[in-house]
Amino acid sequence: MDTIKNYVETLFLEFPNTKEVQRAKQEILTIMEDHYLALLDEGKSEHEAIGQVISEFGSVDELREELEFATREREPENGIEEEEMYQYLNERKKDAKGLSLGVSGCLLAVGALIGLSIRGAEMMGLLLFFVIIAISVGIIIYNGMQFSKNNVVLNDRYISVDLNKEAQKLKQGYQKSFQVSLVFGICLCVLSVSPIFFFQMFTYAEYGIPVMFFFLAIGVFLIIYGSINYGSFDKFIKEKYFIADEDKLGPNAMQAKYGESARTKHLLERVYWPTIVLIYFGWSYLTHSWGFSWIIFVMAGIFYSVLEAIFVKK
Amino acid sequence: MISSDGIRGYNDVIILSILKDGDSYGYAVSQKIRDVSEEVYIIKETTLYSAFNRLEKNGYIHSYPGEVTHGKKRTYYQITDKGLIFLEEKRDEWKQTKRVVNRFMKEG
Repeated sequence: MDTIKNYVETLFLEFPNTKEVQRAKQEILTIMEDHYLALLDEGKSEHEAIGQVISEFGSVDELREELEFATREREPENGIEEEEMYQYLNERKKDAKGLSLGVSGCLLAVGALIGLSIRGAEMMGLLLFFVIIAISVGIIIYNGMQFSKNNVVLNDRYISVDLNKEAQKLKQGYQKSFQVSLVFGICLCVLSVSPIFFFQMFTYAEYGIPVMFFFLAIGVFLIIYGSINYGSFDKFIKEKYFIADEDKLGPNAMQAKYGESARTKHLLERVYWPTIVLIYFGWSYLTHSWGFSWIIFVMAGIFYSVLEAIFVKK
Repeated sequence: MISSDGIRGYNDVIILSILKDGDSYGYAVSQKIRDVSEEVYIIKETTLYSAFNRLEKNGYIHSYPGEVTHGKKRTYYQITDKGLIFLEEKRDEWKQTKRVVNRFMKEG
């Protein structure tokens, strides 16, 4: 029986997990199960029975027509266009480049400082250090802002099944580049210590340190750049509605994630912590128990999880 | 065995005519089709479910949870008045179709 169940589960993987699809799966499974048990009653062996039941399953294409037609009808209007997704991914690629460049820049700055100090040019090194740091931090802040700006346009908009599939394809396509950049990045970080040993052989051990930072900078660049890009696709794969900021879900995303308890969750998020702070101040002022009243925050944290578990169904 | 393409348009009427004799559930309907057709037509599970789904959406049948066997709830299907009328219409249409096609096939 498990074989049949697994078979059906696998075939249904490509469908979105809607009520309609769940029902179809359940119904078809029940028919197959009845069929299987009847065949066993007839004296067929387990293998024969499974074989026959599966051979009479039919085709997924037929179901797709039936089910997708049903899901298509109810697609919300604010769906993200394919064009917009590509634009988002391209924009994000640029921002990711800037961001990782900024971080690498900071590492290079340290390398430059140490390198020039060894040559006796501390002032020069310090100057260069601050200049590079300033530029790098500037780049990081700028790209960070671009990042959220890019997010906002799509926030809380519907991600269609097709778009989701497209994103999955793109992610698969990027997989290889991601692996390569991750492997090279990590290797460079690990190997970054080796210049120190190398230069030690020529008794210039300290020259190894700037080179180490140079290696680190490249390694870190590869890791951050690859990871951000790889993660971008998930924005279109994991959720039904685009989420710009996990802590500030839009109304649609909230509804999709928490279903009927979305309102409760919303209320809980808005009201709970301000109330706790009020209680904290009130309690502390009235009874002058500042010494231990902070404990309320520890307890409130636990209590919050309890409330969420009771009232908010994921 | 009959090709499922050829009989596609008739799945709905076959199922409706079975339900006309009394409420039934998925597997029983597929068994009935197999028996009545003397194993010439074996309906695929996905075809059967698609038909149920379509018929229910059109209001020709309606489903309700039935008895529990093997620890599982079974969905039972019942033909509606609208379904009965639809079946009657289709029956007349079939008589005509049969006559016309027979003339070309020189069958009788």
